Amino acid sequence: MGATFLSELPVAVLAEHLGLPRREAGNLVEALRRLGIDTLGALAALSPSRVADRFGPPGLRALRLARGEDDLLVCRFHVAREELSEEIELPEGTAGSSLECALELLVDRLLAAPRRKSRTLLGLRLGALLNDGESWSVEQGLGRPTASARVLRTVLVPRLEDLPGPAVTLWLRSVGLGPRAAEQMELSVPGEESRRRLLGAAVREVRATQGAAALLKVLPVDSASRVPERRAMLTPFPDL
Amino acid sequence: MSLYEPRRAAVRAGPGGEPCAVAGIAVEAVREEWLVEDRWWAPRPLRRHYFELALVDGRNVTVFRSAASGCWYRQRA
Repeated sequence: MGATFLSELPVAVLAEHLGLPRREAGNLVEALRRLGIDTLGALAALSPSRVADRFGPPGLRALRLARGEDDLLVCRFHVAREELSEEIELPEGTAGSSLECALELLVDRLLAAPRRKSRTLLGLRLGALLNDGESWSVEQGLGRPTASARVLRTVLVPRLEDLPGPAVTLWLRSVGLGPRAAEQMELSVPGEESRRRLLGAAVREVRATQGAAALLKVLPVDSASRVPERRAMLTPFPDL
Repeated sequence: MSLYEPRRAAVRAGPGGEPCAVAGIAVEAVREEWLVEDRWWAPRPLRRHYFELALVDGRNVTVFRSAASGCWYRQRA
């Protein structure tokens, strides 16, 4: 059962369980990916001798984990498998940029959920309840675990074009949670990175002293609505 | 959480339904009034009668009466 459960997870989740220095574990995961072994299921299907030949003892350790032969790991993954979910009711005729604002709000809420406990997301499912009572949803992989609102928005916004009709509710669910965000590698942009770090430190400090709900941002949702409370939402300020 | 959430208000209305006082402050003039109807097809339709008021103390306030509950609310709009 454990192996079945694990099979669809990306090989990136192995990194922190291999007992290797981060760089070495990252290299192993990257090497697996280069060979087209993207999921634990693909890894588990390989023979131990082939894995040992190519990757040595760390590879065998990865294979055991992928096959669910490490009960502790399976248990930990089951805990991490818990799902986060957010939904938002849409005003009539929401489309275009307003729909993107709604999605942005959902992403911010999902990332701000206390149950996430700083863990990254492995995948997402975006869905909607349509005007005619039908439902629609689509699964979106992320390539690698991330907790970046910018990344999530970038991959999800194009999926809104697949919506088959007007929606009354939009929802977003996590599909698996990965390692903590602080353990993930980040792309750095000179200059911007240092500002983001400073801002991130300030955000964490304010949250630590004033509580998680102390920092919010105003998100325009439907600025032309005749119902004032629908024009803008207060949404959690994203982690930086 | 939304900006501009309506908040319950103590409004005294005259026989015609127009507000006479808000939180005990008399209404000097009704500057504008309008109806908002939305989601009439849904189980909980929205129907509000808004009034933009000038009070005798010089403040402008916007209030509305919810047709569903009959209650008065104040709202920044």
